[in-house]
Amino acid sequence: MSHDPQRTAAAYLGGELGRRQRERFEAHLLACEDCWGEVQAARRGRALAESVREVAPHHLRDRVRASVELAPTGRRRWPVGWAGLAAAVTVAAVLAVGFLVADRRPAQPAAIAAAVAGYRSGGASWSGPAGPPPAPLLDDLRWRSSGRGTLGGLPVVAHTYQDPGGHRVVLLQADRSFPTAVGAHHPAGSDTWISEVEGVVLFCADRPAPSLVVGQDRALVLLAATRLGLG
Amino acid sequence: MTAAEEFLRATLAASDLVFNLARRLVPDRADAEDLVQETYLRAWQAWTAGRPPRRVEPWLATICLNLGRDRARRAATRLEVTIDTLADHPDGTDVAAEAIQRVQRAQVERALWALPEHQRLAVTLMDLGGFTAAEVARMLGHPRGTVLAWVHRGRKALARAVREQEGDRRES
Repeated sequence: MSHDPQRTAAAYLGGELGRRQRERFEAHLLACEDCWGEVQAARRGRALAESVREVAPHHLRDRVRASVELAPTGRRRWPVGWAGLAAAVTVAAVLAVGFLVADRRPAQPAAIAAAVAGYRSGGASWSGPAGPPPAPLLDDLRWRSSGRGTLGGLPVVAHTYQDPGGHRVVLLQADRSFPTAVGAHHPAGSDTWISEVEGVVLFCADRPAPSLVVGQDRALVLLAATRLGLG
Repeated sequence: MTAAEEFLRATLAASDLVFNLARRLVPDRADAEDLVQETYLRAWQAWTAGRPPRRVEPWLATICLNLGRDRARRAATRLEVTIDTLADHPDGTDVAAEAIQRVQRAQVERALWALPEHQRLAVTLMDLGGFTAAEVARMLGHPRGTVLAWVHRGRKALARAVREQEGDRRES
C-alpha cells in the first residue's frame, strides 16, 4: 500500500478502515510524524466543528408545529398510465383554451378582492377609531396600528402588525363571515381556509370571531393565525 | 392521532439537525429559521402525498440541502457573514468564561464559512449531523472517497484558521 497520510487519516477518522487495517495504521501512527500530524489536525477540526452545534430554539419548534398543523396536505391523485396521460392531456388542452378566451385570474368575491387591494395599498384603506388589538405581540410581529373600513360592503376592523424585517400582517375582523376565496384550500378537519391571491396569502377562520389574516409571507400569516387561536 | 401529529412526532426530534444544517447553508439566523420551516412544510407535503421516508434524518437533511442551495442560487451573491453569536446577550450579564467561549464560537463559525461550500457541507453533515461518509455521499451525490477527502481537508482548514485567528487575537 502506498504511503498517503491524508487519504489514510481521512479513512481512519471516517471509520472506513477494517479492524486489521485500523490496527496496522494505529501502529504506524506511533512512528510516522506525517500521519500523526494529519490525524491530530483533523481531530482538532472535528472537535471545533462539533463545538458549534446548536439546539433549535423553542420558538422555531413552535413555528414548525403551527405551520404544519395549518398547512394544506400534499394528498393528490394523479392519473397514471396511458389512459391517465391521455386524460391529463385533454384536461390541459381544455384549460389552455379556457385561458385563451378568459381572464387568467378567477374573479374573487368583492370582500376578498378588496382585502387584497387594501393590503397592497399598505393600509391606506383603514382609518377611524378602532378598539385595541386582540394581542399587541404575536411572537416577532408587533402591533402597529388599527383602523376601520369596509370590504365590498362588509364592515371590518383592521389591526396591522409588523416584524423586525418589515413584513406586514393584517388581521381583519368582521361581525359576519368573510366569503370564501375562489381556489381556497380547506385543511382536513377544519372550518378554516387558506388561499393565495395575486401573491397575497389569506387565512380565514370564523372562530372565535370571523377573521381574515392577510400577508405576503405564508409562514408569518400562519404564525399569526396560530397565535391568535383562530380556527 | 392526526396525520400532522404523527408527522411531527416522527420528525421534530430531528429539528436540531435541520437547524444546524440550515445555519451553515444561509448565513443569517432568521433566514435559517425560515429555511427550517420551509423544509418541514415540504417534508409534510411529501409525507401526506404518500412518500414517507425509511429514515427521517437523511430525508430531512436532503430536503434542507436542496432548498438551501436553491436559495443560494437565487441570491447569487456572496453574502457577508455576520457572526450573531457575539450579540446573544446584549445585557452584558455573562461571565468572562462565557464571553471567551462565545469568541471561540464566533471564530469557528467564521472559519466554517470561509471553507468552500462542498467542504463546509460535508463537515456539517458528518460532524454536526452525525451522518456516515456513505450517507453524506448519497446526499451530496459524490463518491464516498471524495466526501472523506473533503471532510478531512475541511477539518484541517478549520483547525488552521482558528489557530491563526487566535494568533492574531494575541498579537493585537
